[in-house]
Amino acid sequence: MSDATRFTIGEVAAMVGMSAHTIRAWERRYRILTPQRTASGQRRYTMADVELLQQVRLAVASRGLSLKLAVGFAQGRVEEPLETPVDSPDPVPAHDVSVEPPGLWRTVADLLPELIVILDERGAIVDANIACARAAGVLRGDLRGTRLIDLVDPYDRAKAVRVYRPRPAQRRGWELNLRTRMLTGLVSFDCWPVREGGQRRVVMVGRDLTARGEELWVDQVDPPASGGDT
Amino acid sequence: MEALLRGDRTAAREAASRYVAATGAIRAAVIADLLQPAQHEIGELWYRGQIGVAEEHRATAIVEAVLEGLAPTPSSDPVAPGSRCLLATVGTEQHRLGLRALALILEDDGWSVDNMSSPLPLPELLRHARRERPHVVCLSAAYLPSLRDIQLAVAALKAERLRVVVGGPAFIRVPLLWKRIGADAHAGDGRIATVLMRRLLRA
Repeated sequence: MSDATRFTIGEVAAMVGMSAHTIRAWERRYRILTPQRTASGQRRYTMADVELLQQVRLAVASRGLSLKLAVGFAQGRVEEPLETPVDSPDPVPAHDVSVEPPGLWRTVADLLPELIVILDERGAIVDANIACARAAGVLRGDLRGTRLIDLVDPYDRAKAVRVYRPRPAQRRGWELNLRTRMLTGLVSFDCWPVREGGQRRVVMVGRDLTARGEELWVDQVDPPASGGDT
Repeated sequence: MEALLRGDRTAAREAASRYVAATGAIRAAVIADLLQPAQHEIGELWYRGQIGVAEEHRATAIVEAVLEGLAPTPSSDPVAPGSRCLLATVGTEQHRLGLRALALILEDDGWSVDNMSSPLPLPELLRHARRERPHVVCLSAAYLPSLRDIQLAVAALKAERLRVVVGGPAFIRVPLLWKRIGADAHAGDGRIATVLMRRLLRA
């Protein structure tokens, strides 16, 4: 078998012990693989793809990782999320993100394309930048008091909660599927715990992964089963 | 895993049965998803000095017993009747469990399996392979000292225009080693072996 050997989805399914249906679903939802396509649109996988799938499957089964994180680990693009030690006397990290004065942060934050949102320790939105309000399809003022989990796909709520519970934590590459009036898609958040006038807050800066790879999110139509690519 | 380390054969069997009942897994899946990771973990514990050689052997014996107790799950889409393969270790390689597991998986897949029960000297292996002309030869190496023998065996078998698949922990630990020694393919587990071997049958 050379590096040029390509496998059908049926062969890959047999090699990793998953159904072809599940493999296609993982591709769609987690962008774990982007197999080549034949002229007739059938998927073709490399041995490296097979190994990646195996690793992800193992990480999910043995380490209890969420699928999205497992995919990230296997692809080497996610680092272990940094937990703020619970007994840390001061959870504010060295690269402190000042949220004061509000006027200044807003002026700067509103210029940025990233989604920036500040939560209180119960997960309610304290403030947000214009990009965030635009993504939510509401005025900025209307976002205040909204809970983060109300902007997140139900599937990802448990993960969203971990941004502020048990207490605001530092996290990098925390990917959440947002579901708002204007935006449905995957956003990668970096989160920092900060203090604002004695209150614990968490600042989230999110990059919209959907905008970068839009074509990946088109729900690809599989060739008919008669094509033998089952 | 706990049962293996305690030396509790019955508990290990029951754990495997529960796994089969819960997942409806075929024999290949139980081996690849349950027994192989367990065996790997045992090997790692031994390497790290956390268990002694006696415990390792006891745990391995239990894995073997569980393996032999698995009911056959023949494939609904077997290879062509008369597809034959030869499974062997060469030289001083004593680790046989991987090939035994592979033999069961390949039998489920419709192969006629010729599994050598102890390591063969290279000339014996060659004579046997020449006489039988199997469609595929599978060689296994658990640790690196066996590699010199494997390399010679692969070269000799390839000279006979036989197809050779290699596997075992030695090849997992050193990626791409299989290419350097000239094998046709490397299979990281039995499930992968079945797919690659079907390919070689058609090639």
